[in-house]
Amino acid sequence: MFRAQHKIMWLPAIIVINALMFFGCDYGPERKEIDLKDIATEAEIQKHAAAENMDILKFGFDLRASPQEDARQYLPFLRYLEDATGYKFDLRFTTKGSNIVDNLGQGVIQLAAIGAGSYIEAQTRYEVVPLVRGLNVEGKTGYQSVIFTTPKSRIKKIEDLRGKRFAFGSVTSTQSHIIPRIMLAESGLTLGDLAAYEYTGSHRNCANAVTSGRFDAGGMQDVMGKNIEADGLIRIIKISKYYPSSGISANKNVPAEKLTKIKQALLDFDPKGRHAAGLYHWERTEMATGFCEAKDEDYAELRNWMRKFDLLRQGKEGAIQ
Amino acid sequence: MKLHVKLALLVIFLILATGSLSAFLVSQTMHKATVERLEKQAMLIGATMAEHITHSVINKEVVAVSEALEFFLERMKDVEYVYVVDFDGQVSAHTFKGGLPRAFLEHKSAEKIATGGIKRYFIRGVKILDIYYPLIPGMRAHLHIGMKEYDQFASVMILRISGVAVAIMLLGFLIAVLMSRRITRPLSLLSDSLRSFGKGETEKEVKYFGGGREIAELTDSFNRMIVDKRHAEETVRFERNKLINILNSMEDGIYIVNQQYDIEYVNPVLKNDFGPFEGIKCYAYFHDRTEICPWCKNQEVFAGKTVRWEWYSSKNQRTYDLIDTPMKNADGSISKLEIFRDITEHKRAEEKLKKYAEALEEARNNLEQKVHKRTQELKDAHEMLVRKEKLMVLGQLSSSVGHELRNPLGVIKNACYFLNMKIETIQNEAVKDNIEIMNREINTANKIITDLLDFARIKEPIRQNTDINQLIADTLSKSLIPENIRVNPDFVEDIAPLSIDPIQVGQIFLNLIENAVQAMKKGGTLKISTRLIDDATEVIFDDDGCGISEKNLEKIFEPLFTTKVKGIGLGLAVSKSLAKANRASILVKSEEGKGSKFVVRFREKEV
Repeated sequence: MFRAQHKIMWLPAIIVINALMFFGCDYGPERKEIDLKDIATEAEIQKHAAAENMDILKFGFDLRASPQEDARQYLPFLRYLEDATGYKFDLRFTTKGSNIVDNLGQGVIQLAAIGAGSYIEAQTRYEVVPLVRGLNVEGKTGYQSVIFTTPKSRIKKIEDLRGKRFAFGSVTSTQSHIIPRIMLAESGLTLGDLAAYEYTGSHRNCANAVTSGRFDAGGMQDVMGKNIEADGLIRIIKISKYYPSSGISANKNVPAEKLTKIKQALLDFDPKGRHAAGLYHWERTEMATGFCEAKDEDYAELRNWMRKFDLLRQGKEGAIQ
Repeated sequence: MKLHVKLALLVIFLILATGSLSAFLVSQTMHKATVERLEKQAMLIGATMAEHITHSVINKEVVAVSEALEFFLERMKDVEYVYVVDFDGQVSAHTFKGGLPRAFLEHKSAEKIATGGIKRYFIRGVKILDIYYPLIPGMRAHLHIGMKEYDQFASVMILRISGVAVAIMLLGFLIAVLMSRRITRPLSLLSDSLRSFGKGETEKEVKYFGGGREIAELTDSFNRMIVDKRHAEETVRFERNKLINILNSMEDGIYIVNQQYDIEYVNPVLKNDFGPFEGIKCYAYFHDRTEICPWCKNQEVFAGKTVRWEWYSSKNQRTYDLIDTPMKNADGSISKLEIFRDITEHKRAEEKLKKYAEALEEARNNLEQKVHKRTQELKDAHEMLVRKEKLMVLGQLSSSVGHELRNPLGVIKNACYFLNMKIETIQNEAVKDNIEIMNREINTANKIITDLLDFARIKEPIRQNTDINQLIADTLSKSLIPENIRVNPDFVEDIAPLSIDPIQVGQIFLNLIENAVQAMKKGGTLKISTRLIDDATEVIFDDDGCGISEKNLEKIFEPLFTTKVKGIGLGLAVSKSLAKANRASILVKSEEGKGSKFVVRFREKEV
């Protein structure tokens, strides 16, 4: 009897098993059920936002290449600071319609890598605190600017620029605006002695403006200028003396003990040695070999020139880098 | 269950199993490939979208970002939602109607995202791939795109594959049923034929009913088997008849009996002698007994032994040589096959032959005895001749040499006597000793000469009544007995005097005593006894010396035979001659290493 039943039952059982295999199996990772109708309230969102940003020190900088490229340079540096201080850092871009001087001074960001001009303006307007100045590739605490022309140009010296067209970089730039203006002034030239001048927006634009022939000469930072000259695209006719280089400054409301710790971490930073691992082209920054302590007196000469050029009153248009 | 039903079910099962497994594997592979394709597409879309909106997010252009998301959503039908997390970790733009779902508020945006990734959700029962992609690797801002996991193409493909699989399986079922009928029908017919064959119907051969090459080969094989069996049966029948003819034509009797003593077969030879066997036990048939014979060999044979024996039948007064052999039957049982060979004439001839052989043996024995006797006589005669010849030569030599030597010896002995008297005053021991040696050696030489002369010519004994015990004692007193030899006399008293020559008999005793002394060089006991036995008087010299070997024992009375260094082999020969002259005999019994016994027997009637 049992044998007979067994014979009858095995076929349907096999069919059922096969059907399950055929239609019913789903082998996959576990999934979370999402209810789209369960909406978060505004208060929850705000609370979440506050929680997300609590105790984060935002580090600002001005775009140099692209957001992605700049972030690749700064993010490893911020990870070093996090490891060295125990604080959380987050990178922040300077948005359109804002400038890094105001962001730092008004506390949108707590720390910023800024040029000498921007620091002088931010210090003047918001009393930001200088922490460190960058050491360039040669280990020097200042940077230079160059005035250049095309290789075939007849311009041999700055004085030959009288009545010529001159290209600056950004109006807020120390190396592509303030220092070149100082070099022109020291040679007895003012903006009025030029046939025309223009702020092209960046060092690279400045170089392009001259090599394309739209301008006879231009002023830009020394490192990039020397590299382009090595490629045979431009000819440098004058190199400035050293002025205090870019540095890192802090908002005045950041607690002093945090600043002390951060400053020490910055001074300890050794990008050529023990902290080199993970850095991305750090040698291209103005802080290539690390930092030295910065004091406000270091910027006295540059501050005088800016006052002379009446640049400290350009807060509404943008900060000087 | 019928064979074709079983076969059909088996094939259906195999089709179901392989079809389902194949479809399962295909669907899984397709699913995996589809998901991988979707993931790659989604990651590409995420990267493109992130690139597109990064600047707007950096500049917090929320409207521009939202427009970009909506634009994207409208064009991508499989996209359920898109939302963007900005650099502060906040959802800055999204496409959800009605607001941000609470589930996405906790998106762990505080983590800085280095590369893109995928999460999986169910939204309203639909599988969703949530692709997230960083706007800038290593920063918190990122993009989420929710896509349906199955695209329409894949669904249609899976549906088609399923349809084809089901169709193939149904077709397979139909083919299975038809094929099973086609295959099993010839097998059923073949099975019926086999059943008939099993019942012994070997006349009919099986016809081929179709079913393929294998069935045809099976049918052929079966038909060959039928033919082979038919031939085998004919062969068996032929061989059986042949065997029966052989058994019937045999001069020997044969019968077969089983373990119950029932006779199973008797060949005509035995039937002629013992009559019909049917229903009769073997012991009754052959022996007229009502019970098993005490000498029955059946148990030995049934145990596997072959037994051969003789039997005399009082029924027909014939003698048979029987060979009993176990015979294994087709059913495994054991019967006994007994072969009767009539050896009556043979036995009779054998009896006659035996008598002839016995007579021959007796004649042969007689002849041998006669030959032996004659041979011995010849040998004795020959020995006697040789001995006589030897003795004759020896006698001639002895008489001439003996007389010639005895005179000089007498002179030397006198000279020694003279010297001995002269040196008594000198007191020189060495000279005395040498003179003594000379005397002793003269005596020895004299003795040899005497023996030679005695042997050469035995003197006629001068008989006188002699006390034998006294004679032994006198002889002992003359003998030189070493100190390490003890003489043990044991004489019977009252022995009548014997009529003998005391000198000759004394010479015999002296010889025997000297021989005994020389046989006991290391010392021992010499027992000398006398005794009376019936009509004889015996004098026994029994020593425990070195004895005489069996080989030498026969020769000791031969003249010139000696084992001594100094002897000339005449002592015992002379003694024997002297004994004979005095009507006595000398008997000897000796064992090498144990001693010798010499008996001098004097017979009374001869005295």
